[in-house]
Amino acid sequence: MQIELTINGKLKSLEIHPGESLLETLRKNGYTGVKYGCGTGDCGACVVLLNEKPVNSCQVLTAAVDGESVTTVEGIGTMDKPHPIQEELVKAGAVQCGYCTPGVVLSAYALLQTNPHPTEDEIKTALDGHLCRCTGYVKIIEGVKNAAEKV
Amino acid sequence: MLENIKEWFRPESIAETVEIIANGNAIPYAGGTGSRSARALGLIDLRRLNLDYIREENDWVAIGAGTSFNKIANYQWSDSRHILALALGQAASNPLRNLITIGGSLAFRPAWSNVPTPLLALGASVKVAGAPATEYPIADFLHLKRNSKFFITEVKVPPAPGYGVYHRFARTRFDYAALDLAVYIAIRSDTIEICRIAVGNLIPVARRLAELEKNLTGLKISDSGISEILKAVDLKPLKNSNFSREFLLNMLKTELVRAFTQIREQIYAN
Repeated sequence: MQIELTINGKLKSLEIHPGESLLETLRKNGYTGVKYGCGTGDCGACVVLLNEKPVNSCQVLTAAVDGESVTTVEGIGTMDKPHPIQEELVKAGAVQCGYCTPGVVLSAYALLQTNPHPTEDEIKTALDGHLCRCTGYVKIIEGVKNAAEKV
Repeated sequence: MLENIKEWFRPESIAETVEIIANGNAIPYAGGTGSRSARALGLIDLRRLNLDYIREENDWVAIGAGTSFNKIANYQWSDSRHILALALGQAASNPLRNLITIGGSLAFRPAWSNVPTPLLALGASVKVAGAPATEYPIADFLHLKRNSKFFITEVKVPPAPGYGVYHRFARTRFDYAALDLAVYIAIRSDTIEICRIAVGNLIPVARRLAELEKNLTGLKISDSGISEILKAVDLKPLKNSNFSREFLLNMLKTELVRAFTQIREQIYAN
């Protein structure tokens, strides 16, 4: 079936299977910053912004979001010009294997868009859907706090 | 990939949706988190039916079935209906709460949803379309078969000017609750006039503790005998791989006493 999605601000016309997940659609179209983790919505590696809100893309069927807007980590920053959230996560030592990082960046981005000065509890709630097996969470929270002062 | 899905239906009205449900091998799709194990050949897109709303109507609040947990959790509740926000704000995770809908949770009733218990304590009702279209008190709704040929359109919650508490007990924040408890109390002249106590997860279907409510109604909220009445609660918890039944029953008693302590604190703070 044919659908349209706005991905990172650009309107795309895509051919999809009716049972395809948003995660699958994005990855096969080159948005590999979206990671496959658990496939059950538990780990947060596949988080993208759907209409500016973080969602687990493995739990969304692409056909259901025909005409809607998706933001992936590729739409937030680039290698040459990283977003301040990405810079602060690196500075805080919050990135090791990096598998959880794109999802964390997007959840933090969505939080700071609506709440520029979050408390630590608000940061923890915003990131409660992300599992990190490398650095733990102290450094990630520190990175988001520092980013809040710059965004 | 749900290989079995061959077709999407995009109804434009509730009547059209009911017709598709009745005729076809298709199931409703709203948030999507409950459709992963679907064996259906088709999905019915409910996202365009405008069921994503919270409206105040004559003191009641009407919540559209397509409203996400986060929208309910972040709503500015003006009375003890905030216990619904507390419950839904603790379910699953932030990205999932942006997807999971209250209607889907009532339809699939997953273990982690936290929805039935606060709705029981608040005396809510559930509107369904289908055969027959009607409005069920939440307690009656919870005993309907899950695969009935209807779909939920709205949850209605009456005013709750009294005092409310919601507690959830789980090993970790993201884990399924081993028990959850919601208490709603209305007081007049220091006397308990309305008492609704609901428990969930501990038993197969969430329900109110009618005998306990009866024993507490009419007592002074300051009555020192209330704790003993709460500790006399008796039910047989479901088998749980992490906790013994004895532990869970004792935890329920502890949470009940804590809930009433919290309610007294709310009253005395006023």
